[in-house]
Amino acid sequence: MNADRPFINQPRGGLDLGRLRRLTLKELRETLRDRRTVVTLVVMPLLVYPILSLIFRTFLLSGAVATPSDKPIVYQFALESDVSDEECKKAFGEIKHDILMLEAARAPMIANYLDLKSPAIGQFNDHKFSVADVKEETDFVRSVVSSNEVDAGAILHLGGTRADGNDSATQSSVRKPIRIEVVCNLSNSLSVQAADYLRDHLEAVNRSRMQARGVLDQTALLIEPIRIDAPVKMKPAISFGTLIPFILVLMTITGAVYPAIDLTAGERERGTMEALVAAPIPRMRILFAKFVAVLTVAMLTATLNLIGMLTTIWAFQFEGMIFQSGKFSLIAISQVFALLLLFAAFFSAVLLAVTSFARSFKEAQAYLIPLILLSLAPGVVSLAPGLSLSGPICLVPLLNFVLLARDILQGQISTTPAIVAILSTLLYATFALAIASRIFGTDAILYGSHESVKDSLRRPREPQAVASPLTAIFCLTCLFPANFLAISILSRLADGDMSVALAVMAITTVLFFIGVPLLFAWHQRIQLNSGFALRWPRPVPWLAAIVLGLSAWPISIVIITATQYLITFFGGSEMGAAWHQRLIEGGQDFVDSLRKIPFYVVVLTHAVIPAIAEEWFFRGFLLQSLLSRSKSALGPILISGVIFGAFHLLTESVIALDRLVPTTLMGIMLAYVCWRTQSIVPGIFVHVLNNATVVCLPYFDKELQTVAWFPFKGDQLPIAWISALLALAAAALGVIYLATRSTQRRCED
Amino acid sequence: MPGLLACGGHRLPQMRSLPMRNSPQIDQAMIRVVNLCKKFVSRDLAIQAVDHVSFNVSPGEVYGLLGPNGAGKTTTMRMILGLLKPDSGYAEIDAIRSDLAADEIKRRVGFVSANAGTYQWLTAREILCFFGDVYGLPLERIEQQVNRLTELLGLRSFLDQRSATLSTGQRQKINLARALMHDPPIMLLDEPTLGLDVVGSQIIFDYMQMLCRDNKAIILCTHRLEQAQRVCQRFGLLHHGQMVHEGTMDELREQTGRDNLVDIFVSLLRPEVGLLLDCGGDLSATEVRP
Repeated sequence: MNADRPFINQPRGGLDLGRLRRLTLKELRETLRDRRTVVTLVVMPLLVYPILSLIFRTFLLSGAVATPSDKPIVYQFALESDVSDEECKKAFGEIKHDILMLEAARAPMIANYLDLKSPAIGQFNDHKFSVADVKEETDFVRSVVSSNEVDAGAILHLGGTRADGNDSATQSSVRKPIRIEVVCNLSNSLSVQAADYLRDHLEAVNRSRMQARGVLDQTALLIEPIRIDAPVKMKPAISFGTLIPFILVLMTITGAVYPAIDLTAGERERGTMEALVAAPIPRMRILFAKFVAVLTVAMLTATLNLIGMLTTIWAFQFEGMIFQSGKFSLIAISQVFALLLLFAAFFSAVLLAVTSFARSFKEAQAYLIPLILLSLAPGVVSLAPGLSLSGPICLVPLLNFVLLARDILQGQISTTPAIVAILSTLLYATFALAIASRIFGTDAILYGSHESVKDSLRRPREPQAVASPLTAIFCLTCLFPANFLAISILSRLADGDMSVALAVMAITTVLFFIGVPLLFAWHQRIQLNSGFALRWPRPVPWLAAIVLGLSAWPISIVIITATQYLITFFGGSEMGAAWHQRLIEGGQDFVDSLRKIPFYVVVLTHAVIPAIAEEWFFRGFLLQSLLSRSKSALGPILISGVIFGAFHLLTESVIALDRLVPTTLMGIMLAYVCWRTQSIVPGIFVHVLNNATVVCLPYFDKELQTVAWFPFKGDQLPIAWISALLALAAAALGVIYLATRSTQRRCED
Repeated sequence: MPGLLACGGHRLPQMRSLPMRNSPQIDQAMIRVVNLCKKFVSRDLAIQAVDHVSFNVSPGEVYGLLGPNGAGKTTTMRMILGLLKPDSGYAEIDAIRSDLAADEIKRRVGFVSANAGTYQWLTAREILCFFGDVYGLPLERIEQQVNRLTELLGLRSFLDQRSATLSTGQRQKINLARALMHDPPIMLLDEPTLGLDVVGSQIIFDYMQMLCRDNKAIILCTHRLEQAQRVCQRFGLLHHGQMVHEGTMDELREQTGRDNLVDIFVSLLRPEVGLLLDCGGDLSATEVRP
């Protein structure tokens, strides 16, 4: 080249932070100069919160100021008494029933004495009572009042203090005054009213009794109000503690949507995308700048919303309903803010992944509407009262955030679910960002050579060898919820009858996993041989599959042991033991119910039918489709395995997390066998034999115990045998690998 | 499972052409396009967008890649730049293959695409600085280049105006400046005069001649045949993805027996469009869609 050769900038190693900052600044500039962003950013919080609070206020006031003429207010009271039966007899004279009973209707004594049913009280004549057995639960009244299960409560003590009351049985000869504590919840206006009413009423009754009846002349009622301050959890309505994070989430989403579309699909629509991908910069870096920009706008929106919300809460004095202490807690607010940052990061990444797919603003909006509706669902679920952050809920995005934020505001945070929720959100965010970087600016999106959803649903004119991945995924998305719903409905119809339930399960399995893919195959003109990998394998892999099917079952034992170890390690030995116990009991119930039906039915419904149907769909339809579009087999095998595992998470009407890992591994193994042999037939054998063995061993447990040579006795599984079986399984896999080398090579060529 | 990784993957294309220099005659060529093929397959339809296209471009040369809409010009450009992977054949710049080292190619190429837009909320200066960053230029170099291109392309009057407020011609100038920020030895210009009036496009063509004097190798796709005839030294005429004619204007005249590009085009398209063209339409102004 000539000497005055133009400047060619050299590639730089590492991440240039200054440059990244400038790239981000450009994205931010572009977004923040756009008036539409500013409108969502500033005007929304200014408008939304005053209006919302006005609505709430009206709603609350209307609850407080009811019109007595139309409908009398019904207060619910809880009563608790540590006065013994003897004392009660002494104090109240005749007694027909035990005073400490749970149902109000059967506890007329206190009610009579307190005269709460007296018609003289006018509109307050229809009360319910909960009378607790204090011998079992102390502080019953306090807890039900603070959780707003009842409006107010009264605690009866014999004597001047509560401690005296406890000794009352020993001092039975002395007649003591009865002290009544009236309990109310300060943060619930209805509770305060109820308690005021109860106190007034008790005092009035006491006065009249003292005057009228000689029996009670020595018994003075000392009525002391107790005011506790617990956050309102309105039973039928929405919980405020949940509503606040939910609104924050909605606002953050609103803030992020526009910049996410604008910086990805908008970039393409304006024709700047091609110039960008023509530059020698890693797409990840551009996307990261965009991600930071979207996140910043989302957080700006969240901040302004938080300020707007807190101002409104302060102005309308709602803080008692939100914060556990009843006062603003800066720590709780900053914790929620940090959590919101995490959530915004997650959602921004999801938004970018979705909008990167779109070729225009309009297309992006079309993709986002279902996404937002979908994310509203867990949000709405989170508003349900009594929902706690535990178990699988920790893993549900958005739902875990709303519940965790609620718990922070109410000071009831528990560590493990919080960590799980935070980690899972982080994981999802990373995953979404990775997907976005794979999609953003790819030539498929740029030059429109990828299939659209519409394409995948159109009936092709030519026969197809395999289903397109979009068709397969569409089929899967139809199958998952439909199968889950069908099983739930039908097993409800079966009403606990095991044989009916099994028949139902078999029919739905066949219908959904064989029928639905067949329908798709017919519509898409997919050839059955190639589309479902229906080839008769050669004898060696076929025999190896049989060995594998008989020897692979100890994998689940290994995994269960490992899981128990992990649970013990992180959660302590009690938790591990409890988990194991639950597993054993669940398994025992299952086996007991199985033993009631003939063995061949068990094998048919638990091994043969599911194996054929699942191989047909997962390794036939789905895996073949994924394999056809992928350069490497590793991705499709792993993906189909994880989908297989995830599917087994949902098959029963409960979510069984314990099954995820073993079934995923099983799915991966079966996919590998199918890929190597290019047929689902060996996989069917592996699957049938594996399932049959797993069902057989416990089914014939009692019989096998008597067989001398049989190595597995009860819970005792010799490690040597497990290792030997697993080694056999590995050898079988090895044989399958070796026996299929020539066919694989031919296939590549 | 070694088989899992070993099998099923495509083999990487061989890297042999990366460091190798070719014969002295071709050595002059800065851009070499060799047997480039690209097929687009949608569900029922397969379109051979580019079909065994080969040509060379030397430094200081403007190569006119011409052809009707859908002839495969843009696809060829994208493959040269490494934005699309060819099905077979390759393109190389400075003896670096674009399908193997796309980033190396991108560093050497300035690209203005047919539907290039600008960031409407940013000023011209901000856009240029942004692309300077995207191309990894050091800060002082970015400033230097912005000043140089401002003078060169006459951006001074609207340098700090938001691009939404600018005219199409001014925005196209920004795009050209943007593509020149990293001072590439090669320019790929895909319809740089799209939507510009006669004066606007004249300005762009003048700049192109200037770039040419600057010893840059330029590939130009355009429908403005008369101006192309003036500014380009050599031409390649694509039709249905195939290179129909290639050479200097004189060589083209010899091959086709026609006097100018418009006539050559008409003769090329006549079998398809038929009588419509006999009315004597000006192809430089109206686009013919096959």
